[in-house]
Amino acid sequence: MAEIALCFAAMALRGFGGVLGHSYDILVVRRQWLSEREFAEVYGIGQLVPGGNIINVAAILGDRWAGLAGATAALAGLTLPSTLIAVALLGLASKLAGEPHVASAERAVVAAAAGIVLASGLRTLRTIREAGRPRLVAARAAIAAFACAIACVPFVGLPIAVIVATPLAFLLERRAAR
Amino acid sequence: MISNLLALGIGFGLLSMLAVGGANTLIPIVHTYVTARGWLDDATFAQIVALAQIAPGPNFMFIPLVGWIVAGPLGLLVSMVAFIVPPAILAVAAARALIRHGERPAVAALRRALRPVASGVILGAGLVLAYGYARTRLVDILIVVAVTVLVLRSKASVLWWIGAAAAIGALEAAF
Repeated sequence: MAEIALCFAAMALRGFGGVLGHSYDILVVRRQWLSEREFAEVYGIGQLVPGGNIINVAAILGDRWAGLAGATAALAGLTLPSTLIAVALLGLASKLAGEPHVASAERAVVAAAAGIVLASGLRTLRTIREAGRPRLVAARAAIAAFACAIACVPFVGLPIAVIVATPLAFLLERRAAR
Repeated sequence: MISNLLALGIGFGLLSMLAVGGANTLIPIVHTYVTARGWLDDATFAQIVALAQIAPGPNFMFIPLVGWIVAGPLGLLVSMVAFIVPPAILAVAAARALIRHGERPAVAALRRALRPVASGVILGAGLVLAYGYARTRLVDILIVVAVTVLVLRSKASVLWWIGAAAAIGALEAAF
């Protein structure tokens, strides 16, 4: 149990700019707790379900190895130490908050975060070409555009986009598979 | 205090189920939620989002940081558990079910169906974020475009682009 928690804590604390790459390195390459195929499968489920991808991966693996206690250990290891460090950094950052170049740097980092989000959206968009005739791909693109437009509406947009677009896309894929 | 904890727990619990494609998709909606409640101002929210990107760990950390600012250690814990647990239960259930029913066509269809939805929603979140924080300064707009292209084209860790953006932002204020 402690080993699971420590393993995920080490992963999180190495994870500057994202934990996922390190999770592959630690779980598959170093410790060999998972095969490459198992990793891909678990990662796929983590992405399929809402929430942080690596958080879901930790829950699935902890559960698989040691049930509820394992899942709890994995999640606590992944999130607690890194969050405590972030709190300490927040104390430091708020002392510097009055400084104009710090505020300016923070805004620039949020702009970079927007770029990262946009890039991951575009990367996901590439996958809609997979296993589809041109008409199916066009319909998928229409659903993506629809979800994007609705999601831009402040506050209510995101839930409506997810709740409306998911069944539409599901019906489309069911019909296409026939 | 109690009402704040309830609002954190219920709010982040519900929002967690909408985090399609990862926690960053939620940045705009969490921004609206916390500013509408008067918990944080725009500058503080930008600060914790920036911190969650820079600090080591999963980038959902802006959510427990909101809890910390609103209600201290208890707020941090409530926000964290509320955001982590609902999707984690779903993920574990999905993983167990997929071992049994993974080959069913409905499961395959659901997997394919979520891709265009996720990509649309993530792109929407990115656009809202860019519009909200980057539209007033040319340098921010350039950073959004440059980071988008760099992340797509290069295999280097995103931390390099975040660090470069921070440096450019700091320099921008110096001149």
